[in-house]
Amino acid sequence: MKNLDILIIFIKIFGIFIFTGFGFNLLFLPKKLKELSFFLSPIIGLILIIVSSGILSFGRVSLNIGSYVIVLISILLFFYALIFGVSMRIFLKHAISFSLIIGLTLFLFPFNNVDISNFQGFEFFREHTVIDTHTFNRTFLQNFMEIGLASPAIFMSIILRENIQTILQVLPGVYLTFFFLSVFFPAKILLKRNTKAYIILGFLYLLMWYQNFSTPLILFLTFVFFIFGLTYEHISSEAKVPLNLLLPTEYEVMMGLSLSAIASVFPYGFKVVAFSLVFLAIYMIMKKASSNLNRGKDINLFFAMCIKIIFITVLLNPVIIGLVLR
Amino acid sequence: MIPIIIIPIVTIALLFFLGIGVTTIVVPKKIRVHSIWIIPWVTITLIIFFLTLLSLLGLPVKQSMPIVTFFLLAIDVYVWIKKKLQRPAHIVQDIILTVFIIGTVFFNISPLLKTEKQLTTLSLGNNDAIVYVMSPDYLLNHSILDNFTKKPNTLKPAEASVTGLIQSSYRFGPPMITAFFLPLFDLKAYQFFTIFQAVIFALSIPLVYLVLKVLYKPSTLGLVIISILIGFNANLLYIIYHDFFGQVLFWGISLCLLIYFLFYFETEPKNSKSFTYFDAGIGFLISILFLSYHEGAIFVLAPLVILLGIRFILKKNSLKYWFSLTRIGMISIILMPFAIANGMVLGLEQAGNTGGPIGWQLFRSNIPYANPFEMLGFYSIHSFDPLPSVVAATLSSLVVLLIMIGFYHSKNKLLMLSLVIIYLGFLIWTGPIDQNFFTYNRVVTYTLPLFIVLFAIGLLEAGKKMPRQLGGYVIVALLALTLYSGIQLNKRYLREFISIDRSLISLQELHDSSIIQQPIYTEQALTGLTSLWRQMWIEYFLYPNKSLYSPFNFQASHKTKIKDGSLILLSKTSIVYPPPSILYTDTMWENQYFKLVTICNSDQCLLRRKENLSLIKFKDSSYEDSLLIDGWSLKEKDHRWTDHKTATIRFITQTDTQQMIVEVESLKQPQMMKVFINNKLAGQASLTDIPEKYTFPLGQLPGGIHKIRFEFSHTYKPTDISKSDDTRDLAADFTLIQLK
Repeated sequence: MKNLDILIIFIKIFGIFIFTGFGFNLLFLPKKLKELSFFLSPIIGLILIIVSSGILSFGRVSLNIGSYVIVLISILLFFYALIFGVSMRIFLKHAISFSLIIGLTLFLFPFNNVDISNFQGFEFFREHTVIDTHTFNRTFLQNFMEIGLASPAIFMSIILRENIQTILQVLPGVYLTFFFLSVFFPAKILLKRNTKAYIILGFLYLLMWYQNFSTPLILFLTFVFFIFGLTYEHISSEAKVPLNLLLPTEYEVMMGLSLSAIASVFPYGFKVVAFSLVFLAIYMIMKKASSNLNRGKDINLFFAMCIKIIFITVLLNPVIIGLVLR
Repeated sequence: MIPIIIIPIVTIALLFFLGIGVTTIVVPKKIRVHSIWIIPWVTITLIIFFLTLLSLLGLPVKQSMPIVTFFLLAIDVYVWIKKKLQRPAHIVQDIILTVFIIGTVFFNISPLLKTEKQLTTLSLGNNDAIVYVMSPDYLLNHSILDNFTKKPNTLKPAEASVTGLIQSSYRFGPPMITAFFLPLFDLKAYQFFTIFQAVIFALSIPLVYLVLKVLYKPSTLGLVIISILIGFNANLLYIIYHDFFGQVLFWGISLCLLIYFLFYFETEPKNSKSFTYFDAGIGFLISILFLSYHEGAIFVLAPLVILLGIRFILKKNSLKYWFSLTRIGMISIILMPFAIANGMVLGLEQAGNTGGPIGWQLFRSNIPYANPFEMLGFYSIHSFDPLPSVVAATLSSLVVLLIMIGFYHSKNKLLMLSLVIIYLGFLIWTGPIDQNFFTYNRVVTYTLPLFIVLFAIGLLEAGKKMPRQLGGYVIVALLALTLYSGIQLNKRYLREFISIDRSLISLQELHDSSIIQQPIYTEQALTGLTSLWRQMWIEYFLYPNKSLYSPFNFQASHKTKIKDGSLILLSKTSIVYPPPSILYTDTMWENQYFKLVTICNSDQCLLRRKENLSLIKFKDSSYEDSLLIDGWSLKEKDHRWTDHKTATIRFITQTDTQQMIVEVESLKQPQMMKVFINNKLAGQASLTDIPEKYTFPLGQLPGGIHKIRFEFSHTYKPTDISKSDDTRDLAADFTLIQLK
C-alpha cells in the first residue's frame, strides 16, 4: 500500500474513532477532564465500539447492522450534546500536542510490516454473532475472546467500505497512537507540565518500537493508563465527590466501560487490572490522597466506588466477565 | 394434600418477608404507602435480576440463591433496626384482597386438590410447561454460561427445551424465579410450577386494584369488582391453564410499571437533571421485562413514545418528560443491554412474520375473536357459541360505553390516552387487518387489566347515576356472568387437564438406577411421535443420568438398524396410546408402569424366534412393531393404517410359502395397491372402502427373511371425507397380512 493511501485511511479511521467518542465524551466526561477531551475522545470511541459490539453481538445483532447502530447512537449523542448546550470550544485545547503525537506515529510506525494473517477469523463477525457456534464449528468461548479485537476492524471496514486487510494494516498504528494518548493523559495530570509528558512519551515510543508489542497488549496498556488516569482523578479530585453511595459518577461509568473493554481484548489482563486497581485504591486511601474527606467517609465511598465499578463492568457484559473469571 | 395447601401460602409469605426491607429503601414512598402488595413484586423482580446476573457470570442457582437470600434478609434486618417497616394502611381492603388471592390460587389449582392429590404439573393441552419446568431444574445446577459454553449432548433431548429458552429468547425471568424456591421447599420444578403460576397470577390482582385506586379513588366495591373481573376472567384463565407462564409474569411486571408511570407522570417532573428512584425503578422494571417476556415490552414502551408526542403537540412539559425518558432509557440500557437488543431483534422478526401458520386450534369454530363483552369475561369464547350478532353488538357497545365513561372519570388522562391508542392499534392490527385469532387473543389478554380498570370505573360511575337497587342488580349480574364463565372454564380444566401422572413420575426410579448405563430407546423413537406430552416428561424424568434416543434424535424409519440387546423403554399399559409390540429377549428393569427390555431386532435374532413371524393379525399381535418398517401409522386396537403411499414390512418364514393373503380396505375409492416381495411385483388389486381379503400367488418362496412393499395410488384425509379431526394422509387399513 502506498504511503498516501495509508495516510488517508489512517486519518479516516482516526476521524471515525473521534466522532464515535465525541458525543459521549461531551455528555459524560467528568467536567474536570473535559479539557483533555480531544485526547480521550478516540480512546472512548474505541472503548464504545468494543463494548457495544460485544453487547449487540450477544443480543443477536451482527456487526453488519450493529456498526450502523453504533454510528447512529454516536450521531444522536453528538446532536444531543449540541442541542443541550455543551460547549465545544474546550474540545480544541491541546490540539497541538495531539497532532504531534499522531504525526510522530505516522512518521515512524512500520505500516508495511504489519501481520494481517488473522483477518479471516475477524471476518466471521461481520455477518455472525457470538452465539453462532455449532453450525460454524466455533465455540462460544472462542467467539467471545475474539470479538473484542475483531469488532473495531470490522466496524471500520463496514463504515469506510474498505476491505479488512487494508484496515488491519493501518489499525495497529492507530492503536499505538491511542496508547501514547492514554499515557499522556495521566502524565499530564501527574506531571502538570507538558514537557515532561513528552519526554515520557518519547521513551515509551522507543520502547514499543523495539519490543514490537502485540495489538492486544497495546490496547490493554492503553486502557490501563486510561483507567489509571481516571482513578487518580476520581480519588484525588478536589471537586466534591458525590456523596450518593448508590448512583455512579461519570468516572465510575467510564472505568466500568474501560474494564469491560479490557476483558474483551485481553481477558487475562483483566484480572491483573482488577486486582491492581483495588490495590492502588487502597494504597491511595491509606496515603490519604484525598485529603479533603475524612477517613470514615473515604472508606465508605471507596467501597461504594468499587462496588459500583464492578457492577457496571459486570452489567455491561456479564458473560465475558464470567468467561474471564473461569 | 397438605403440601398443596401449605406451599402457596408459604410462597406468598416468603415473597413478603424477603422483600419488605428492600421495598422500604427503593420504592418511592408515594407508591409504598398506597399498598403493601407491591412488596412481593419487588422480591420477584430483584430475585430475577440477581439470579440472572450471577448465572450469566457462571453461578448456578443452588449457589447464588443463598447469596441473594442473605442479601435480602440483611436488608430486612437493616431496615428493621434503622428504619420504620412498612405497615398496612388499609387493613379491611387488604383482608378482602388476601381472601381473593388465596381463593383464586386454590380455584386455579383445583385439579390438584380434587383429582391428582399430589404436587404435579397440569395443562389444558399446551406443552409449554416442559420449558418452564425443565429450565428451573437445569438452572439449579447449571449456569446460563454453562448452557452457552457446553456442547449440546444429542442423547439428552430434554436439554433442548432449556437451550431454546435460554439461547433463543433470553427469557431467564420465569425459570430463575421458579428455581429460587425449589431448594427452599426441596421440590423439583414439576411439583412447584402449577402452584407457583397460580400464586403469581393471584398476586397481580392487588396491582390491578392499585391502578384503579390511583386512577379513580379507593373503593371497596371497586376492589370486589376488580378481583372478580380479573380473578375469574375466562380469557386470562385460559392463559394460565395453558401454562403461558411468561405472560402471567408479564401481567405483574407490566402492572408494576403502569403503577410507576401513574405516580411518576402524575405530577410534572420537577428536576430534569438528576436521577430519581422513579427513574431507577422504571429502568430496572423495563430490564426485567426484557429478561422475562420481551413480547409484551412494546405494550409498555410504545405508549411512552405516544405520550411524548401528545405532550409535544399540547406543549405540556415535553422537554422535561424527554429528559425523564432519557434517564430511564439509560438505566435500562446499562442493566442487561444485551437482553434489550435481543428482545428488539426478536420483536422485529416476529412482527415481520405475522402471516406464518398458527399452531393452535380455533377457540371456537365461529367467530373465534372475542368482542368487548367477551373480552371482559362476561361470556366465554372458550365455552359457548357466539351470541347472535345484534345481541353481541348491543352488549359490546354498552361495555365500550362504560369503558369510555371510565376513561372520562379517570385521572392522568394523557397517559391513559397513550395506552389506549396503542392497545386499540394492536387489537385492530391483529384482528380485522391480520386476522390472526391467536395473536389477537394474546393482545386481548395483554391489554385486559387496563380495560377492566376503566370498565370498573365506568361501572362505578354509572352505578351512581342509576337508581340504587338497579345499579346493584346490574353489578351483581355482571359479576355473576364473569363467575359463571370462569367456573365453566375451570370445570373444563377439571375434565380435560393433562398432568404429569404417577406413571411418568415413577421413572425417577430408573433415572436413579446405577445399573443401567447404556443409551435407552424410548418407545416413541420406534413408533414416531405419538404423544408429545408423554415423550417430553419421559425425557425430563430420565435427565440427566440416562442417555436417550427419542423421536427428536432418532428416525423411526431407521428402527431396523437398532442392534440386538439395545435397551427399549416400553409402557406396560396403554396410556394415551397403545405401547408398541416388539420382540425382546430380557427385561432389565421394570415397575408398575414401565419395563426396560433388550430388543431382538436383527434378522438373525428374528430367525431364531419361535413365534410365527410370517403372519400379523393386528387384533392380537404381540410383535407387529418388530416387523413393520416404514409407512405405518399409529398402532390401533385391531387394525393399522398406512400413512404414506408406500409401506414396508419384513416377514420371516421357516418353510417355503406359496401365497400372500391380506385383509385390507381403503378410506376411499379409487385405490390401487401393488404388492412387491423382495422388490419383485407379486400382484396388484383395486381396493374398496370395505375390508376384503386379497390373495397374491408367490410361486415357491423359500424360507428366510422377506421384504414386502405395498404401493398405493392415493392417500386421503379423513377430515376431507367426514366430520373428523383426523388430518393424517391415509392410504389403506390392514387387519391381516400373512405369508402362507
